[in-house]
Amino acid sequence: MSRGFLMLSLLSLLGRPLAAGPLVEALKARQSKLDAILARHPGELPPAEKDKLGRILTETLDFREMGKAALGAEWDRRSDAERTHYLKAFEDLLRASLLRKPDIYRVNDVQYGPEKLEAGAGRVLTTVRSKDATTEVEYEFLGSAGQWRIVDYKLDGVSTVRNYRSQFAKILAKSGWAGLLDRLRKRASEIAAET
Amino acid sequence: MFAQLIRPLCRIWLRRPGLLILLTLLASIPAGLQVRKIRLDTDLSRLLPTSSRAVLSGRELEKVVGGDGGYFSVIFEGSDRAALDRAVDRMAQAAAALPNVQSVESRSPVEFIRHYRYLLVPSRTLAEVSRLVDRLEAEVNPLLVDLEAEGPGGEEKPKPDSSDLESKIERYLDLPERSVSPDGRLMGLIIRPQKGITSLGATRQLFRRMTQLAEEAAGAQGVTAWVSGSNRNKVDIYDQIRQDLNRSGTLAGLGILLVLMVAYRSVRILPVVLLPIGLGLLWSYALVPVLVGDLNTITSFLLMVLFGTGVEFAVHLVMRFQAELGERGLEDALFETFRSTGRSIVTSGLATTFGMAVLIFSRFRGFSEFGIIAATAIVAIFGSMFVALPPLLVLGARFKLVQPRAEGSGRLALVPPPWVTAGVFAVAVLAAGVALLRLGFDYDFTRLQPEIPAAEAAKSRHRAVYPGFTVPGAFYVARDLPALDAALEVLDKRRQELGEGGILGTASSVRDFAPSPGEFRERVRLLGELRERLSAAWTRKVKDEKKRRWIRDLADFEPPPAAPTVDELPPEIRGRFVARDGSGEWLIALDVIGRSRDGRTAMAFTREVYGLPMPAGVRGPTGDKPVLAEILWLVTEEGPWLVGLALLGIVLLVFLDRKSLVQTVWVLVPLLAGLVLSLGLLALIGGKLNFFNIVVLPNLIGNAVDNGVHYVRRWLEMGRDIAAVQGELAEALSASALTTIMGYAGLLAAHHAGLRSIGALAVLGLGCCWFTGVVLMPGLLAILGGRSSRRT
Repeated sequence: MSRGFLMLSLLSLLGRPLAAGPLVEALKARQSKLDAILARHPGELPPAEKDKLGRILTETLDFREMGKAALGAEWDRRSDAERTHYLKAFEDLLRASLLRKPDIYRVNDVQYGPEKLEAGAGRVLTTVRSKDATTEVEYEFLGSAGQWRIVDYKLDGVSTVRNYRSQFAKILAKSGWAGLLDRLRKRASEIAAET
Repeated sequence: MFAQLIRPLCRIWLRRPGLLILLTLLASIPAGLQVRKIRLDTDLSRLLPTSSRAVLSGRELEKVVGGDGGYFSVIFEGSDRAALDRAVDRMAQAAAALPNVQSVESRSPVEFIRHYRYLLVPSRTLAEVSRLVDRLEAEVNPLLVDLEAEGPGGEEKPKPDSSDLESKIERYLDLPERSVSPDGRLMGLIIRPQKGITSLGATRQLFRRMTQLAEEAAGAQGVTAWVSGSNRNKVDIYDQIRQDLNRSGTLAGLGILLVLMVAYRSVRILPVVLLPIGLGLLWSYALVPVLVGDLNTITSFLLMVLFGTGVEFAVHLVMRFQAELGERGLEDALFETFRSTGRSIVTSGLATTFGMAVLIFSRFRGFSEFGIIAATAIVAIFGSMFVALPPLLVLGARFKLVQPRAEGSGRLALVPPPWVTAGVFAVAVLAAGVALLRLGFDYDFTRLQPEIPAAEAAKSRHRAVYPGFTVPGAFYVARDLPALDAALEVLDKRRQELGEGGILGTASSVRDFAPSPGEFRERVRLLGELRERLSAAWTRKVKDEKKRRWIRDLADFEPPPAAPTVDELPPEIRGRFVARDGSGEWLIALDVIGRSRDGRTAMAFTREVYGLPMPAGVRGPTGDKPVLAEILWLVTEEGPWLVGLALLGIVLLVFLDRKSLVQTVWVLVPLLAGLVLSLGLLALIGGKLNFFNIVVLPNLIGNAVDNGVHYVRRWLEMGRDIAAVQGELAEALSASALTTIMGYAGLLAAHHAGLRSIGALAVLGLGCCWFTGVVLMPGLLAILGGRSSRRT
């Protein structure tokens, strides 16, 4: 175990902010990969590049944790097979939604706030400036050194997980489990077809 | 047998005709007095059996709910806001002093509502707001997907309409103390009477008084007054039906007179033809108060129809008498007329009576009372043909009012060539196919309402001031607050089970404003979540300023620590949900989701509420939707059976008379062909059956069989000489069909669309049956087994 990791673990236990830690570094690395692709293609992205963009955007996401949190208490009521089907549909939806408007990743500047780490959880607030707007994006992580994965992202205070949890609860109440899966699959394929 | 009976009668008729007429008239005086007692009741629940659930609930709860929970609205129009204020205040004060008024809502309790505002929003609505926030978040967050959006198209996807929901929230932003139209030119107040439409007399009186008070208040302030509301609609419908009856009756009467004058080419003969019918109608209508009580919406117009139908008997008898008089002496002419045509009218009269009487078996009182009155009237008119008409014919012949005419002198003595007959037959078969495939039933009550331009002007102003203000689909009455809470729970649970496609709408009650402790906690919890979400930075990116206003207001709202109790509610609010009979019971007003005037919506809603087990201490449902639904259930269930039964009965009657299967078929051909032709034509012109005009069908069957009965009898009597029969009967059949058509045709001028639809179907049906009677029938008989001495 390295000395740096020991230090990080201690600080994360205390829950104190860090100026630039592994979470920020991970986000910065991801942003530079995105910038490189987008810089090569000022216009519309070719399909292959879009795929690459998608891989970069999703490789840091923990779909299982996000899907579980978005489902709320319903997660516990579902069998393993049902969870697997659901997670696949959820992942497809998220992946499609992230690629729906690739131009939103063309940013002028990203400012990274301090990291907050606490008991295997982390949070980073970033301010993204683009041509049209300034957006606060807050990332929530789970994991440990070298294995941090994003489990929620909030744009201007809108939590992706909470919004989906709210939408899923209403669809479950209205159309049941099958209705939810149908809806996820239908919307994912619609958005994928658009892009 | 029949002839043996007629001969002695003839002697009596010939001996003292004047005395007989005088005695008949004198005996009819009590009937005239009795007829004055007849009243019209336009309440739709009056059409249902007294044991129906809708009627029983309505009776039980009418004083608690106030009939159907109806109201009046008074709208003042003007450009001076202060004048409108003063007019509303004056009207409110005057209306509150009226004895039959339960409550007046002229000012909104602004301070109370502003203080509690979002806490007065039911948790189910707050949950919908939460869903709206999901969508708004998805709109400003490019990484979120609105799962409710439908179909491909990216940002162009249609969003679920949230305008109603948003207007529910936005109303707390600028709480107006007055109900005012968006342009500020109209200001209104709502007045709820103690009694509803079940007491139409009181409602009419109240309407007149309120119109007077509103005009006084408006006149004093230099503004204009309009009185509208659901109770005014009921009064209007009643008045409209009465006006329609007067107008239709006059037109029908004039039409019948015209037809008779043309048919007889004489005015002097008219008293001989009309007096027996008038007497028959008088006798039968004298029995109406005893047999059915009041007339209802469907039986209201029956007088003209019976007049038209009754004339048929007289037309046939008088025309035959004229023909016989040309060949024989008075006694023999009278005997021959009643021996032959008299027997025909016995058969056709029995058939017509049967067609009408079949309706008596219906549980739908719109039909059964129609059947009772019509069958009684036909029997009475029929009786009058044997009591009053013969002495009148004798007197008419003696005083030259009735002139003899040569047999076969009719101007319609044409026998159609076979190809015309075959063509008509083919068209009838084709029409049957069209009718089977395309003819539908119209469930839309909006298409059966009267059109009242004056009321429409008031209605449009009412809608401008009170958009979305409707009478609920049904009411429940709860004994106390625990029962109310239990009932609301049942409704809420069922609504959730049904999901968004469900028919159950909002259940409004005093609990909307004074929530139970559990509901209060839920509202506080949901409001807390919403406030947190709406305080986030994303709300700054919402572009719509109206949305941003309610978002800010809701985010800043600090809920009071406790909910108001029912005793703390302002009287304007409490009065809307408390029983109108002063019992202290609580009302639940349940809305319908969907087109509220569509009968299918009413049926689905009623099926749902009838299936809901309500807890102890809760009564209902009552309201106009269950009444409409039960009417439609009965009509659509019984209609086909009644038509079938009428047909079957008439087949039997004709068979008993003819004692020959072949002749029975001949008699029925013009009827059946005419029936399918008319239904096919109705379908082709886009017409539909509805709960008003379906009553015409058994009636039509009874009426139209006459053509075949008369035709076949004379055809056999005249040695199968079809041209001679056509010469004698074509004109009589045309005249009698036209008089019946005229009886119904008056209804075409009605403003009440339901009554008009009766007139339209009957005119079409009788017209088709006449056509098949005088065109198809002679042609068929000529082809199938006759000889024609005079084919043209």
